[in-house]
Amino acid sequence: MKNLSNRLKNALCTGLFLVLYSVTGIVYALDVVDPVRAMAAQCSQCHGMEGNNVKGFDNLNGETAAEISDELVEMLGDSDNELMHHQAKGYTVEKINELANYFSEQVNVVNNNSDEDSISQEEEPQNTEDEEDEEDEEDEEDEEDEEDEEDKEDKEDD
Amino acid sequence: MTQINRRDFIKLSSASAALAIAPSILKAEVAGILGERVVIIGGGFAGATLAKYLRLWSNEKIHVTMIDKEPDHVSCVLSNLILNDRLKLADITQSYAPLQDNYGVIVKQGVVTGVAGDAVKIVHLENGETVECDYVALAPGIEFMDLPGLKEDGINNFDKVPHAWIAGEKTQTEEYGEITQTELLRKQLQGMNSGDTFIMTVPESPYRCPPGPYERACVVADYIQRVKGGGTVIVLDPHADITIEKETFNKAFKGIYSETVQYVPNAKLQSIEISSNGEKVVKTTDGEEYTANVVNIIPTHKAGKIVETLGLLPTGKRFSPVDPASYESAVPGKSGFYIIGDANDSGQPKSGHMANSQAKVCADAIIRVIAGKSTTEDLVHDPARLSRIKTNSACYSPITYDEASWLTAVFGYETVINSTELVGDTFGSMKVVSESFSSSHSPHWSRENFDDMFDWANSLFSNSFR
Repeated sequence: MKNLSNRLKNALCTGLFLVLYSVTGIVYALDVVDPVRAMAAQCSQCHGMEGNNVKGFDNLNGETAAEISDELVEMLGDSDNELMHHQAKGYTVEKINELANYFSEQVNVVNNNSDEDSISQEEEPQNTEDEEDEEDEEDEEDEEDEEDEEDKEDKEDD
Repeated sequence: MTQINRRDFIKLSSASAALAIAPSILKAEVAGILGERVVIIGGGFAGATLAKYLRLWSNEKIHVTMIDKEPDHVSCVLSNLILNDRLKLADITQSYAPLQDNYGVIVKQGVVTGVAGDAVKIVHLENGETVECDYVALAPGIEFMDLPGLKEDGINNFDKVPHAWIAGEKTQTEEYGEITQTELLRKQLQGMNSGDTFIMTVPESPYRCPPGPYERACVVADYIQRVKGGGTVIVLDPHADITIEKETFNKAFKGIYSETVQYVPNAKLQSIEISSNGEKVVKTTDGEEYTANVVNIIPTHKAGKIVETLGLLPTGKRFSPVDPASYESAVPGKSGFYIIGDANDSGQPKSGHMANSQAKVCADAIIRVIAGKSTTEDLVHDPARLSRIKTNSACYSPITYDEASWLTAVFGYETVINSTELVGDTFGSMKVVSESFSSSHSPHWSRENFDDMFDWANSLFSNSFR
């Protein structure tokens, strides 16, 4: 009886909610329930939006949940002094499995981290003091040229 | 577009509350109120990330206005590499255009002078403009405490003694006109001669970028040794010892930079004197005096001024107390105000990476507050959420011209019941759950880390601003 009453209440609420939504148009759906989303977003500083294709980091959403999970769980048990291994140790196996499931379900999207926006390091160390002043302006032009060439190379690589 | 006023909103939320929306609906979606508006003050890593994720996670339903006094953001992350000419300012300058174009964030350039109102807030700008909103998030970063001779009422000598700790802050100088703090320090370093002395100070904890001052000492020492043919770098530290990555920086100061770096612990700043001939004398509280050609004072920090203006800084505090489940102000009567990034006192490191991290927790919380108006439940302090609140920080520090170290930490939320320090009984705190430095094992720094540093920074810039 109690169950029936609850189910009636749920159905009634759903109906009223939908009526309110369609009539007024001022209530909208907010997907807030999944507490894993905000936790998973903590990986994006390095691995990119929804774990997508960031240069230098593993692409998370191309892997199965088992692959992601196995890799992270392995990091929990080892003593490798690598940054990601210490990050992994901030999560329990339960949370790792949640993250793995989350990323395995994400759609691969084009990432915004284009070469155009990327910074690259200058390759050659600067010269000594004597040569520095004279070459300062020249250096800047050279550096710009180098950057252009690096950009071209990057694009060709892609 | 339908706009609703406060009265309509109360009617609507009571109606929704009366419905007591069933858990089955909660599992999928919760009603939000169209037209809820958030104003974000400050467009650094915290503000930009919050703006982006509020739009992203609300399917662009929440109106977001981000206000910054500059037209773009110069990152403090990597800014020490301007000093040794590895990067140019443009390399670390982040445009706000992608936030507008990709996510529909409204970006305004201006200075916020105050916020009036209660449930509906009116944000006032210096130019007389006002922006109405329902929530205000502050991400103003830091400002500096007064120091005799450097920064006091009416005195601002950062044009002669740059802090270079707010990388893009512009200063009017006699020599170079308007110039950013980082570029000003670079110019002064370039002007040094062989055998000259450079003094820098470490700010009192907590301060922005924990390894940053020691990293700067290394970058400058390398520059002086490599480019200037030698000189002296005096590091005045108010702490009893190096505060972070101790093994790494000790090894650098006592090893490769032993000829150059003089590290002075327990050196608390008292004042600075700048004579008419340009000589700078730094005095410490133990009576010592240090003279140098180039002085880089990084004074003690406090939260950006707007935090105090809005009454969010309790007397005697430097940073603003918050509930780390949401970053909403913990000052009584200040609901609807959120403080993220370097300006809050959540006990987590003050860094760009952490600011991004906190902003995501805050975005999720604000969306839950809005959604929670249609239910009787506290969606922010839902135990299923609290147990999954994580933040993290990671960063790389250049130690030589082409080698770097790293450090990382993961924080998790822990509930504190009836804490005397915090308001209410649902507030918790963020505790370290994993932490390490590259110096835990050799090598303390490497070329590989240096290369990784650029990948990390590019990704962080992208995730925060694009």
